[in-house]
Amino acid sequence: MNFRLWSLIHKWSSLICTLFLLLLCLTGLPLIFHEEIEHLSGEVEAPAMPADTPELSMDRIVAAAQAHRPDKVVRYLIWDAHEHPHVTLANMAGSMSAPPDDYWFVAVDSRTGAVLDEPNERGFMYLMLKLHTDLFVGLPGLLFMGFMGLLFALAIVSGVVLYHPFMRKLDFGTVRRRRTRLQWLDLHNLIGIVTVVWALVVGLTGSLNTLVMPLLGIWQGDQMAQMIAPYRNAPPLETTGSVQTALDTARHSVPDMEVRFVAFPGSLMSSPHHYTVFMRGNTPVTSRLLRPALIDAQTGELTDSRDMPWYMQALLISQPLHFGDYSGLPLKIVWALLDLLTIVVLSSGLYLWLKKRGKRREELLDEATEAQA
Amino acid sequence: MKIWFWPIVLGLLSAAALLVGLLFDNAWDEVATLMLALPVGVALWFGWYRR
Repeated sequence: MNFRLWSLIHKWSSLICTLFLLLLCLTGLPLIFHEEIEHLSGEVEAPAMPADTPELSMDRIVAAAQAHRPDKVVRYLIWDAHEHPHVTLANMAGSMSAPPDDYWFVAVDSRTGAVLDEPNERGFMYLMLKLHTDLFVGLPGLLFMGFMGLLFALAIVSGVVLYHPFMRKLDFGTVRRRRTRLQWLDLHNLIGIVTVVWALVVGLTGSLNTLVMPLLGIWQGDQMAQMIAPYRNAPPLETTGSVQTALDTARHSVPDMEVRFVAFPGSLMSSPHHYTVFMRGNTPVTSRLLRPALIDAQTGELTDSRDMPWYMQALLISQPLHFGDYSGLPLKIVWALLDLLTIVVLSSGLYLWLKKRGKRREELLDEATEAQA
Repeated sequence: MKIWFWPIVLGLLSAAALLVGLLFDNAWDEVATLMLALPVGVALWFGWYRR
């Protein structure tokens, strides 16, 4: 092992990413519990009604949202039957081609068509999300954070390599408390090595998630383009047909799946001639994946439906592994504790670097391995 | 090899916890949570409680 080389790799990969990683850990902490926080902070729910109250046609829901905001168009309808039963969330914008960030949510009761709320406050959780993802600068910010995640992974790998020389004369779990610097070195090594798999998985899945926009672009040029190829020379739609018919066709064509959201014709996630209905399965894994069904917006007939390509599946399956939201509150608490432990590893690493500047690294290693507990 | 015994055991447990939680539901969720809590417990025990 080349101790000097690995020390250099560990030092520089860590130094560059540490401050951003601290920001990610701090902002990630409330984000782990975003569902709980949103429930507590009074997110709107559909009022109680008899359980068998039927839902309206989604065309009436669209009309209700449209009547409420006549200056906007509906781009997506989104459902989450588990978190928000009987609520249809309409994602509206000034025009179909407005940028993705330019959205306005209207929550409509799926049974009555009543507008329940317009949940657009950009409060604390929004701030946390922006600082955690794109630093308010869009795609460049996302990709930058993704690169920081890769440096973090490199810091972890080099840290594992360095664990051996530092620990070769010590028992597992030794923390020498007589000198502050040795104590923090031992804590850094101990906590770093026991959380290594979690940190690596969360770091790399986070980096993968920053690629969502480029991967969507590839999907559109690849699978989406193949599916809508027959429409390449079709004239633009004059009027769009029923979204309810599109939903019925999708449910009929792809049984045993639940509709997650529908993208309207001309929106980023659809084609100019289709409603694209995104369905999810009902097993722990398939509920995380999406299967698009393209429905001709004029005739309401199925054009095509395929499983998403591997890179989209990889992205979707990496999300729960980053968010820790696939089990329940106990897992989220463990996730938060691991996040806090990562903060200890990051800050002790920074402290050790500040303390050791000016000394040669071989001296430090001798000192660290020879001073016994 | 002695150096790596516990890190490897805890690493395998964490990896198994992440996969089990993702692939199975219900009781397995609790199993996964407990498995992933183990590294946290080890860190707290050696790091803070054992003096």
